[in-house]
Amino acid sequence: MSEQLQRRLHPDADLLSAFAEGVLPEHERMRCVEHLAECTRCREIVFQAQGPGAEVHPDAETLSAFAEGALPEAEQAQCIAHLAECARCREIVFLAHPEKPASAVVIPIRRPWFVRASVWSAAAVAALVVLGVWLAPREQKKATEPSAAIHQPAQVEQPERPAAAREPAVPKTARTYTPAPVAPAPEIAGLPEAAPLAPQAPVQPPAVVARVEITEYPEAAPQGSRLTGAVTDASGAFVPGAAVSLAQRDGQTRANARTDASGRFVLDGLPHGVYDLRIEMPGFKTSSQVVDLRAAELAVAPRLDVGSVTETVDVTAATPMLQAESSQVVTRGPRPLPSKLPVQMTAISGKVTLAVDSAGTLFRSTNAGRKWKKVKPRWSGKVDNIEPRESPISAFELTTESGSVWLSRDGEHWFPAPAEP
Amino acid sequence: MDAAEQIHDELWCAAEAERAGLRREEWAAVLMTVGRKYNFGLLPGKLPTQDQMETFWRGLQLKDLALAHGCALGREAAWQLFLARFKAPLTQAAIGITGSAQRGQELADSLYGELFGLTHSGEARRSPFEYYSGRGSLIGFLRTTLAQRNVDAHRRTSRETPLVNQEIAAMAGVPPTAPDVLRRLGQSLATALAALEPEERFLLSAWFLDGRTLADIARLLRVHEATVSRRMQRLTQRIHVQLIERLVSSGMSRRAAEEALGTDPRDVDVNLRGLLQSPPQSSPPAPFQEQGTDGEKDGQ
Repeated sequence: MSEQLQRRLHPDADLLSAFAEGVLPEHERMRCVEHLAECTRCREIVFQAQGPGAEVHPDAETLSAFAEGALPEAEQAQCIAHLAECARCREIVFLAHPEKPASAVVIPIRRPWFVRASVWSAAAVAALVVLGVWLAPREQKKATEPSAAIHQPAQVEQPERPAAAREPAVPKTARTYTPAPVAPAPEIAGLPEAAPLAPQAPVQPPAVVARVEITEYPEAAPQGSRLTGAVTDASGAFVPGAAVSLAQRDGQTRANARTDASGRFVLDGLPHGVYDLRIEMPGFKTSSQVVDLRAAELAVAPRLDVGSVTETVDVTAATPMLQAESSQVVTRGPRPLPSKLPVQMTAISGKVTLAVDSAGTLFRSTNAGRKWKKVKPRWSGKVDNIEPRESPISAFELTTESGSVWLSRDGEHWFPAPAEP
Repeated sequence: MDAAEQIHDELWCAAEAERAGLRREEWAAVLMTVGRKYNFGLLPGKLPTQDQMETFWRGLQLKDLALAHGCALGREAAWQLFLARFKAPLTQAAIGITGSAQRGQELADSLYGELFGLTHSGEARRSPFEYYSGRGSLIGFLRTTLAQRNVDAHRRTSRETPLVNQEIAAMAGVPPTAPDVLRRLGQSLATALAALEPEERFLLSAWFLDGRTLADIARLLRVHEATVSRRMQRLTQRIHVQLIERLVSSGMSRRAAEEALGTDPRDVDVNLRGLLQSPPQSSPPAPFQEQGTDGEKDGQ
């Protein structure tokens, strides 16, 4: 039943915007709340007006110019005013330009009572500056990649990459992998003492093969063939953000892409031929395989192995392990489930993490697995599958072993899914 | 020069009203109009003192106010300033609201004409800028105006899908609830929802009817997400307890009341949207100020 349309006036844009900005006196604010409680239209307006899509942020060029002190005074002041309120843009500026702005100069303060020791204080300050300059490049090495990631637009050959400025390493609705505990490889234990590595030699993680299912469209369109695939790990969870590169063996065709939130990638415009497909993702071994695009349909499913405990995982700022807004991926490992059983699968949406143990019991955490709470089941039987959903109605979808499907907005309260039309 | 004129002059300089093409007397008229419209932030009926008037004026976004009213009066200097500051952000906001570059550009372009006061022939030139009071930011006002146009256009051209008509599979293995229990449950729910405060009804409407996220609601209410989550939790728990108490007081046992709360909500004959959005009121609400567009007058 649609809402009753009442012939009364609505608050105007000025009142609604003042309400949303919190500048109304209490009696006016309550009137607005009372109206908004009853009026879908005005609620829709204020939510649209205040939603993340309507927010106006300085572009990357402006932020970069601000950090470098290259903006005119009026724009500089506007930028500062925006940064004072916007954590997102502050994060961008600090990630992109961790060093001090060029206009900042360390000036030793001369106090009257230090005049005699001014020479010594100047020397001490100079020593500190030298120390800072010596230490800065070590931080800049890790900062150059995020600078490139933020300021360069998405590459044409990476159509699935979201907007660079706000791009998390793992999108909100991604499923995460839960690596099984790995015992040290026996051959490592028996190795003789290795020679020390050269200090400049980068340590590459051993290759981990991701499971890739590739389908090729057999129609040879004038613009070339399309190669699509989905990268998953051993538990079946999709691996978003994996770097996919394709190189033709007897040709010069090269193509790159990144897997999207559901672990999928698309490469278009490929001439028929034999290619080397390489998939890389920090924390995993790199996958290399041969793809023959002359075949009508090709499916590849190698096993995913996580890097062992002795391997170095290259963590850079380009792939932050913690998304500031949703705490989606954590640097500290989650704690075991209260049932002490291994985790079969997990699903994350926003700040809520759901996990199912091997007995099919569902647990919920709002602090990235540091504390788990069992979810009281409204269904009968074990949980067979959970997935995040991008829907205003529900954030999670759960399937029991009997096939019934349940939805939830917060992972705690569940309701049966409507039947398919 | 009396005290009010001195304040007006001081604020005229602070607002850089001259750059926006406003004369001093025009600026004074704007301040007095805005102040009287909202009774200088005081409760209706209270008379403001000079200090209260000054406090109200000093709390306004003076530069934005001067710019908006300079544009409303058609001053070219004001329009040049406005376009230099707000053209790109307005377009960006329109694209963000509509979710489409093309529709966003169209929405922004259509708003420019309206802001300039282009109306049908024979009518006086009116600009939405006249309704800007300076209490919130000008960009916030423009975003809300864009959202208003977008929502009204969508509601005129799109049909709503009635939720009640959705066919949803029944839960397996659950025995049907007795009609008498359903009736009591519906009445108790209606009573419980009607007794809610406006802010509580707003929370429930935004969460259950609109499907908004905690982040959206928190941003609008200017509180932390956790605060909204706690309020929602306490609210639903309180309603749960009230429902049980009402069912028990209607003659059901506590156990039967708790079982009744496990009823499939689709079996309960209650218009949730109607209860949340049109509660019985002892007196009609005071009307808001008219802004002047037909869509808003009709409540559409």
